[in-house]
Amino acid sequence: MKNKAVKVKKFTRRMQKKLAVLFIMIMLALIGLAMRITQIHAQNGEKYAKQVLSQQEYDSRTLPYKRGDIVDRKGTVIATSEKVYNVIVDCKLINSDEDYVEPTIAALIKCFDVEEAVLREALATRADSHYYVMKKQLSYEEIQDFVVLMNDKENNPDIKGVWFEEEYLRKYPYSTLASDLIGFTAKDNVGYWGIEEYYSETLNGTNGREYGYLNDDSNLERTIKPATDGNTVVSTIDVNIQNIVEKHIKIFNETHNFDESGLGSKNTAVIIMDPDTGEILAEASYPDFNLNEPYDLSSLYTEEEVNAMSSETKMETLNALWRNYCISDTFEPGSTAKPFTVAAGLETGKLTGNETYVCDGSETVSGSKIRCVKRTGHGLETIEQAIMNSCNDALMQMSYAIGIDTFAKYQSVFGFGKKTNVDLPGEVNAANLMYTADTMTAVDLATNSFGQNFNVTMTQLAAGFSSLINGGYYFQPHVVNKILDANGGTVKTINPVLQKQTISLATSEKVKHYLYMTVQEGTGKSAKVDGYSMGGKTGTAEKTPRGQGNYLVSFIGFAPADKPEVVIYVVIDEPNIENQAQSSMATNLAKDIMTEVLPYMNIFPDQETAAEAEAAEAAEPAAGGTEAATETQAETPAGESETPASQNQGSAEENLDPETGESLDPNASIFE
Amino acid sequence: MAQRIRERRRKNKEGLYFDYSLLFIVIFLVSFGLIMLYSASSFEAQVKFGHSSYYLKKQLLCTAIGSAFLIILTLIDYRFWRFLRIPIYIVGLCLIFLVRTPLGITANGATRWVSLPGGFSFQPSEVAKVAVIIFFSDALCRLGKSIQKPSSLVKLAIYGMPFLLAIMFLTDNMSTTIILAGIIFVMIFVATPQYGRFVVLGLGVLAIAGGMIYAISAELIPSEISFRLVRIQTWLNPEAYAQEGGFQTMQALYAIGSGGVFGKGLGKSIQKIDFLPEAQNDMIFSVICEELGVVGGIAVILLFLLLLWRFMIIANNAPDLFGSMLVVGVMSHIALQVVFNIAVVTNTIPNTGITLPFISYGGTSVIFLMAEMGLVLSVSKRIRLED
Repeated sequence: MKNKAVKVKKFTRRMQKKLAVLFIMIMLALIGLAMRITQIHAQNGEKYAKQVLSQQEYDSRTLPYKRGDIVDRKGTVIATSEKVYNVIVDCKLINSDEDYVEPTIAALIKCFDVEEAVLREALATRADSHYYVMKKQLSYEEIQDFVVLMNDKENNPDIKGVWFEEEYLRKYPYSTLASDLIGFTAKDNVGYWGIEEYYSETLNGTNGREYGYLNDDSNLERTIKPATDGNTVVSTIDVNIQNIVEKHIKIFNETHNFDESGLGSKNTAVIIMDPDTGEILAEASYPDFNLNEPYDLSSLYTEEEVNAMSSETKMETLNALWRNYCISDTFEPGSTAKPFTVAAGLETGKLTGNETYVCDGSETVSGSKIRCVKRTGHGLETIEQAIMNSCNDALMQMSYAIGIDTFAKYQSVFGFGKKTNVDLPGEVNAANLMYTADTMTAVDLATNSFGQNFNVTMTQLAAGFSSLINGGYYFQPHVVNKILDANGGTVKTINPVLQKQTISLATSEKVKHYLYMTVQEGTGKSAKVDGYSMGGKTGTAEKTPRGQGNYLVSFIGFAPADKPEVVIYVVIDEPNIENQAQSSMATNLAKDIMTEVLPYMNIFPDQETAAEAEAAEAAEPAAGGTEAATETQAETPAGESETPASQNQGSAEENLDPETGESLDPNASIFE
Repeated sequence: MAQRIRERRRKNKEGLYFDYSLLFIVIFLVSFGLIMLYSASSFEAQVKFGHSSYYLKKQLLCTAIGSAFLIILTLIDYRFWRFLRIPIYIVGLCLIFLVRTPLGITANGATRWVSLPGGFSFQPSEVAKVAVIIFFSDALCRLGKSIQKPSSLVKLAIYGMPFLLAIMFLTDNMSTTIILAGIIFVMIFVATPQYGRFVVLGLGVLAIAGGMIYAISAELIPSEISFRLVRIQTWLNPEAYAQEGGFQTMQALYAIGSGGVFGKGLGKSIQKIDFLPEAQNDMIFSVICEELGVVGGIAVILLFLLLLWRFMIIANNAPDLFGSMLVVGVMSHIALQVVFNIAVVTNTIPNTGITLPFISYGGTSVIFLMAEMGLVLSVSKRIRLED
């Protein structure tokens, strides 16, 4: 026993010390590692936490929402989103088993328009990718062949690693219809222009998500949080009326091609409005564009021309094409402003309606001679006759009675130079092209009275005009009257907004009568639809710079005359004809449109037709065309303008040189 | 005579010692390991095998077998293994050669498993560790003071080389080779009185490693050679070498970093779902950090430190040198694996496939770790309490 004990070697002191050293070294290493963990947490904890979460996104799948439709007032779909499918190839999965490669490639080639070489290259170069987009935006029908093959597990067990990502594609069934008004969408449902932009938030929904998580038993479950589809926007537009309008605009463009540019005018625009609500029933300007291909310029330019454009030029051209003339462009309205001048006078009692004026062919204001359309003068006229004849001289005389303060106030009351707040993007105001009581001179007053020397947009004038004839109620013009949810339930009804009373009912009745007479027997006669009582006013404004023979002709009218249900405003900017100063361009277009629109709107003829009238009493014939010709005989020579208002685009102030005052050149005429 | 026997009995009862602290720590570690294993592996098990407890069940079975080993080895006097050192050495070595026979199982590109009847398999390299510890404990005892002679070192090198070479080249397992070499190195270090030669050796290794890392990071090594050292490049810049293993490293770091101070809660790791490869294996420590936070990670480190502390106590008080060296061998085995594993997970050193003792998934590993614990407890049982 003792011997044994001696033989046993012991763990010596020295060894114990060495073991202690070893233990301390291990302890230091472990402390170092503990510090390292703390350091990772302190330095990158937040970053890594985010990284972890963002990786999860990759694992889950976004379920796209459907952007809401845009429908017209009758429910016709103008813009909609169709579900399309992207073909996603999981290269890594296919490459993971040799058995998968050939059957899958064969099936893909068979069912889709894809080249074998391209596919093989993708599988080789992106071997580790889970997400290779092979085809984009295929329709449901286009993917069915493959889906059938893939689901046939018995015959095709090795077709693997292909799935379909859903997406929505914006479609416009009527392509060009109301293109400026509707607008289009780009990637990710961003709306550009028109209703698509203004109501983009309303139309958009919320994406859903499909994701996996571990439940309490650590089993993987997949959960779907469904997408919320966007709301449907019901427009005030009527597709049929819009169609009629656009059809006639196109006919106009095809038949007026003096300089062979192919366009009937620089811009042809029409607004049709319900005067009792401010609802816009149709709104078109030409040239239009295809909403399905908004970047396509081929309808207006040749391929060479497009290719020659720099990207900036191209963008400018496109923006010009996309913008909505009716709200974004201002112009001098011309004689269509005359009823407003008269209404302001009557409303304030500055005019009684019983005045008479002598038109001698011109007025001299502050030393400037401003001429009437008829150089020889219209002679003695009542207010009614002044409107019917579109007499500048009489209007100028009225403006003296009205005075600068009242006139400027009423320009504002009628909404000129102010945004109408129509529910469309890109509306301009023309406030800087307006005079206030402080800046208006006598000459400005005189020229403003007949619609020159200040600028408006079509929407401003149409909204103001509606109030003139509906009893004085100024409604905010609008293009949307209802929001529906994805299931068709009403989310919101947008009622007409009555903004103000511009004039009294009595004044409105008087002005309405003058306008009725203007169409019945005056300068607006050629706009009259046979059998219907109508009112309206023409306008022929020479554009600045004066003397170039460039005119903007227009007509604003309404029907029926006693209880207006529809207002039409036609503007033709620089008609493509030899002598542009013919408002008959506008009246004829208005007549063509109204001839179809009135019956469509169930507005019945309330007058004898011309044939009936002739049969009843062999009365004096009414030839509309000649009226327009006389209307354009304005003779105010254009001198170099050096007036204080010359900074204004719409400056029409006449600083007339007596020496050139006798010019007979019709292109030098400015005012009707 | 009768009195002497009675006296011995009394001494046996009252003077002998058993390290309950160590036993408790081991039980705690194994239980904690099973919980973490289930948490880390359930997702992958569900996806791959259809039931979430696939890995847990296998590990439980091995833990049960391991517990049996622990009890048996605790009861058997450790000195008994001294006599069997040569058979153990030969069997350990032969088992490694088995991987090159039809019994060998190839998985993940390396042949490291040997199949057993009944669909079971085991890793010979785990057996090798125990064999080496037992054989070298005896060898170091025999050398005694002569260990300082160069000839002794040559002798020890000859003993060790067959194992190192077999593991390295037959199973293509670099990391286990390093662990084995480390165990031998630490045992020799403790048994040898000098420090100098070890300090020089340690500094030399550090200098070579540092120089190599510098050369790679400064791009001094021509690219046709340096691509072989891709592990080091991955270590230096895991994000750029995602394909070569950096992905795993980054995901482990994300897991550790995102856990916060107290973690996301047990079972709530996000990283273990699809992102962290081998979450239940080498990378389980990052799941612990993600679920239990920095605090949980440090607690596990402290637990291992406590375990090593108990080993040191037992080694210092063992009745003989053989017992002490056994405990030192086990201690170095566990210490090396813990340090290397956590260092890899935290990207402190380049990636090597070393598991975390008691916690990582691995049946052979847990059985033989438990067996080693049995050895240590057997040593602790023989400690004489001094009056």
